[in-house]
Amino acid sequence: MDKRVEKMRETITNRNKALLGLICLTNAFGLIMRRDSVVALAKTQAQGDFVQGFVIGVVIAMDLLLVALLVKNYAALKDEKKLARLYNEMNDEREIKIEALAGKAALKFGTVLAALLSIVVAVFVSTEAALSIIGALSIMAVIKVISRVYYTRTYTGE
Amino acid sequence: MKNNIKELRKANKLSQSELADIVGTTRQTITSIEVGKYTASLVLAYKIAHHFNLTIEEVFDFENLEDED
Repeated sequence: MDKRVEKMRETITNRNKALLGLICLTNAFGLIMRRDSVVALAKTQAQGDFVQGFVIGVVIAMDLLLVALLVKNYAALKDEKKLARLYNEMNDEREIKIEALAGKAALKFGTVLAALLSIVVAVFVSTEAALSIIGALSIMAVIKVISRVYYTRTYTGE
Repeated sequence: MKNNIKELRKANKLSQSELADIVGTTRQTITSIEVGKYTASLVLAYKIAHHFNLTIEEVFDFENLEDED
């Protein structure tokens, strides 16, 4: 069997397990939210009903989406040609480069936006909130430095 | 970067999807390479050239490479 097909089969099987786990988690959360004791935590009955309805709606939407993904994955597992094509899509060099560029742009834009937001928050909301945004930005900077050192040592271009 | 993948593909009666499947990429990437919007990596260029039993230089035009930088 083609190596690509074998790898993709493994990936999709793992993905299906994760999807099944996610479906269980989502439904468990939905069931917890249906309990009257959770609704009673809200300030008013109307608020509790609204949150309960909203969460149930989100759970149903997520269930539909996750089941559709599962069905698509199971169908792909039966078709080797589809699996090979999925593998190519996942490992397409142009797609990987575009993804990296998009991530880089989003990170830069997000960082600048968060920095500006921290100034606005410091002036109009609270200094503590602004400090937490700056803290999050500092953690991001540290993670970037660590990642850079790691990839400098390990990146082979393959 | 200019190349003659389209001509080679047509001469070999291959669609973009078929060539993409053979060299392990997507149809969109083959399209982008053909129209010169994307420069293939060395590995992908080798795979394409190898499929047509040609060298990389015979498939890709490196003459105007410095102008593209």
